[in-house]
Amino acid sequence: MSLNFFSYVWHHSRREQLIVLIFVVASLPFYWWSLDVPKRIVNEAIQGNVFKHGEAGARLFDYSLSLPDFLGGATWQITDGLLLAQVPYLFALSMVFLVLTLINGWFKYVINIRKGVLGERMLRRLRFELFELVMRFRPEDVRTTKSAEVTSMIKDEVEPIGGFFGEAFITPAFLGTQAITAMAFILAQNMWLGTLSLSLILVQGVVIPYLRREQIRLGRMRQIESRRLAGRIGEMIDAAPALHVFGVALYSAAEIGQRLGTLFHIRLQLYRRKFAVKFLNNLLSQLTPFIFYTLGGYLALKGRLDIGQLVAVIAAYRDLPGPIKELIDWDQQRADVTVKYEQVVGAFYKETLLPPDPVRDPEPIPRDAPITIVGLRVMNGRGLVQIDRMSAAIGRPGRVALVGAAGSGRDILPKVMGRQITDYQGSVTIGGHEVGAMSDREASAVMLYASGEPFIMSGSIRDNLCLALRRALPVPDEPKDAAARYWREEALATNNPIVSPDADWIDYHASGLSGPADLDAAIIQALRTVRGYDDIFRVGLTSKLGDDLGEDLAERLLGARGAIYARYEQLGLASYVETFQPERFNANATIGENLLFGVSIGKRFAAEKLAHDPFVRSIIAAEALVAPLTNIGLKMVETVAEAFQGLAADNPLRERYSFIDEAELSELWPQLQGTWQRGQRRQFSPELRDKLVGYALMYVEPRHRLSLIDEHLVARVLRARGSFRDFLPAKDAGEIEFYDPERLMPAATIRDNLLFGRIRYGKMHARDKLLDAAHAVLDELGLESFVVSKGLEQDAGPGGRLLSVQQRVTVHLARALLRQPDILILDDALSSFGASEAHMIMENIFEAMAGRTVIVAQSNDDDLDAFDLVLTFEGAKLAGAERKGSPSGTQAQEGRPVAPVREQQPQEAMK
Amino acid sequence: MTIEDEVRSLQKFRMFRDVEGAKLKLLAMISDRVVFQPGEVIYAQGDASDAVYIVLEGQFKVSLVTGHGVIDFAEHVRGVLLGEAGVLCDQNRMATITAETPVVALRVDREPFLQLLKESRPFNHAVVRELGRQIMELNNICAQLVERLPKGTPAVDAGHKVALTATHEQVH
Repeated sequence: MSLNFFSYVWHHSRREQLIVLIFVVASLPFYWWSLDVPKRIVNEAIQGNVFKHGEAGARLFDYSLSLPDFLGGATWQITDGLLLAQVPYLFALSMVFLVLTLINGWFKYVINIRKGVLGERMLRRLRFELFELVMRFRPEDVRTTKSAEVTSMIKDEVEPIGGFFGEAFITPAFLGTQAITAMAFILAQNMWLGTLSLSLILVQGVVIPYLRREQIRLGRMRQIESRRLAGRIGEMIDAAPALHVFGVALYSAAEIGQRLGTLFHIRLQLYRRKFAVKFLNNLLSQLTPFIFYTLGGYLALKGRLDIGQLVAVIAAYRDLPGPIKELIDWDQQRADVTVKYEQVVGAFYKETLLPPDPVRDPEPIPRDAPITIVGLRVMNGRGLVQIDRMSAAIGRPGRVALVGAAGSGRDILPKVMGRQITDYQGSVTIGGHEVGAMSDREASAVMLYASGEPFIMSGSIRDNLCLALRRALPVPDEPKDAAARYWREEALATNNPIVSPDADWIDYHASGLSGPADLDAAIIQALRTVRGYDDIFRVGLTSKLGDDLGEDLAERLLGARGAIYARYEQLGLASYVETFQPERFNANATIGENLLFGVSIGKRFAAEKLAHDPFVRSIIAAEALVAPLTNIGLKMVETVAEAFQGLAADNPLRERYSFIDEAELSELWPQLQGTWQRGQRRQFSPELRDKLVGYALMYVEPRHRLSLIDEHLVARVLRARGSFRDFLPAKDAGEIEFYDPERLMPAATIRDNLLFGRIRYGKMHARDKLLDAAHAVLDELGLESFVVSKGLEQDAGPGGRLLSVQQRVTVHLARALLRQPDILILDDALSSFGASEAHMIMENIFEAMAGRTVIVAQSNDDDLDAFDLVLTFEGAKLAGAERKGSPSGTQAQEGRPVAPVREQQPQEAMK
Repeated sequence: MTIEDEVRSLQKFRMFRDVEGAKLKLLAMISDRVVFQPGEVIYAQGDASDAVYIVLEGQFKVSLVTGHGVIDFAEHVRGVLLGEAGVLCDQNRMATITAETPVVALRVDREPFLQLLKESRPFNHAVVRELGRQIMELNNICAQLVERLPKGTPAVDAGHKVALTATHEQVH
């Protein structure tokens, strides 16, 4: 990509530029005519110059073609025109004027549209090229790049460039011609005055760019500074939770404030410059008429200059400032835009980029090609040696452990092999291919690297799991209709990809799948391997049922409800669930749930808002529940205030009472104490009372165990339940779905739909037993895959923020296994699991990767029995390599791990 | 039974004598009261250590699955703290605990338990003291066992594990 703006534009858009230019040139005659016609209307038609001598009519539209004199001066009359009286003459000319105006308007419209389209196309191309460049940054460069800065460059900084693409050549060509014509005219009238005004313009042309140099410098500074600001703000937003923890918001604010100050200062200087230059410009262009008037007038008075000539010169000059001024504006814009362009493109210009992906799949690397490391030496950016001259041969397939202390070579080697570090000396090859020089496509076909930092993108869990599979090269569809054709042509015109992201990008073949039908089974298998299946199943159970079920599915789910309950009876688990029954108080549900006896659909009857809803409030009041509920809330607040004293607001111990907000509590508490001191225990302000009632509605006796529910309360709540249902206004009927054993509840979770009750507190393992039994029933009824697919549909949130840390790692690992790579490199990838869990996952991975290669970074005290080859690092040095017999599991044959050759290097000092 | 009752029960234990009332209340608030019927397994060897139990009432039995079958390691145990070692060491359950009489216990999940250890120094001390007491008791038991052995029996190997290491196979 060219570093020069104009050569970039010319290279990619010369055809369009020329077409627009042709339009511009074609529009010129009509433009001149449209200037000429009004003059004729005034002079000839209205003032009647052509009718002065008493003619009854005048000829209009008589055109003749004459040859110049040196060709014989012959004349052909093309049309004789029309002979018109004065009034028709006026109308005819006016019609001509109207037509010309329309033609001019049309030209302007077409030219603007074309210019705009051209600009937009170039912008699309530029943005895409920049994005492609970023994606080819080496991992080292990516690490030092702030994503917000790149975003701001691709999104905002190139925006004004987009508007200028269309102007780059057309405007100077167009305005330049106009200005040159006017200048030539002046020169032809009077050499002397012409030279004078030309020299003034030349002064403008020399002085102004000189003044602009500073402006350009400031512009560059402004751009860099605002980009930094964007980067820093992005960083701070990412780090916001930590900033809150440290309580350093003020410091961060100060920094941003200072950056804004710098930016302000630069912008201010820039404005000063800009308007100073403008002022000078205006002055110089006004100076020329001054000279014409004074000097020209003086010469005319002295009789050395014809007055007619002077008037003509001044008239011609009147046409000059317009184009010149616009040219100067254009030049100003040019300065701005080229700086921006060079800045942006320069920032994306790196010495070395990863090779672009080949369009065709490279020759696959054989499965048993060994990994050979010769004289590998890695230094970090500060010159610290991280791996010192190591050589080894790793036969495939095999299980390789890289052992050492944290930060030793065992953390570096997997990154080199996994192409996270491409800047190394020596060589690391797989089957003769240098790892650092491989294209993504080539490398990803043979190996996958997984670190402990999972990258989860926004989208569903399924999207994330399938991400690693999306490396097929779908054939672009032949466009079916005009819209598709347009879409494709535009993409081609801007060098964008023509295959839609909605196409099936999944490479089934490489993962050993026969087609889309196998995908779900493969996902389930991969999840089981990394022990994440149950979790996803549970996520599925707790996701909303939704109302887009087929009738058949709905019926089966409703059937499952009964089947599960029957199974519970059979297993003696029935007493573990308290089902919802219209006439009974469910002790294991909150008071609020008991009152509603249904699932809130909208926000209105959501649990946390219940006490503030006027309708609910009126029901509570009507059943004389205000006082007892206030008391319950009060007791809860007292308990919380006592027991949680001194605990931070986000302490996980508060979880069970998390609905009593710490901030709210510290606000409530003094009010409560104030009320007591005044001896008015029963008289709270309505707000306070609503809060307390709200807490009480969240109360579950066996969970919170404050012994606050008695028969009277139960009776009243049940009565309230009845009246809530009876008096619910018809317009609010859509806000709630009442529990009904014969119906599914789309707004409730699948679990609630199936259990149709609450799990009793106080029974050990009840939840697990119940869910396991339910799982088994769902399995038998063939509904398991429905639940799992619901779980997979869960949104992962931006960066996976809606998932737990372990879920993220699970998804990360599962998608690596889904790909079934020949080599799997696990760089501390299991660190977020406990030791025993990690061990079990490891065993599963070994099993799933049987016959293939797994390379794992381990710490010294891990169990290494399962590995074929153990490379031990001490600091940057490879201290030893131990080849073990093939343990149970994979049998490595000819490709069996080879003991590494250790190059005996003279002790090089560690820098 | 309410939280107040549970706090009163906890206060009766010697190990909690230095823990302030508010923290005992907190302990009760973050836990679930669970009841096991006689014969019911409280947890089984090889299960994940997901919770700690504070036994308020009842007796239980400790058994071990070894290469030579199941050993009832100890019977009629009246402990206070159950399962804390597995949680603290991030190990699966080392033994199976079965209720002999109805057992009433407070179940504290792993995370809140560890959090509470950080939060309350007296509670932390109480748990450490309890662990120490258990070690002393075990030493006493071991000494008695060694005494019963015939003379000349080689000393035991601390690295040798009697209990089958649970290789938690996937159930599905």
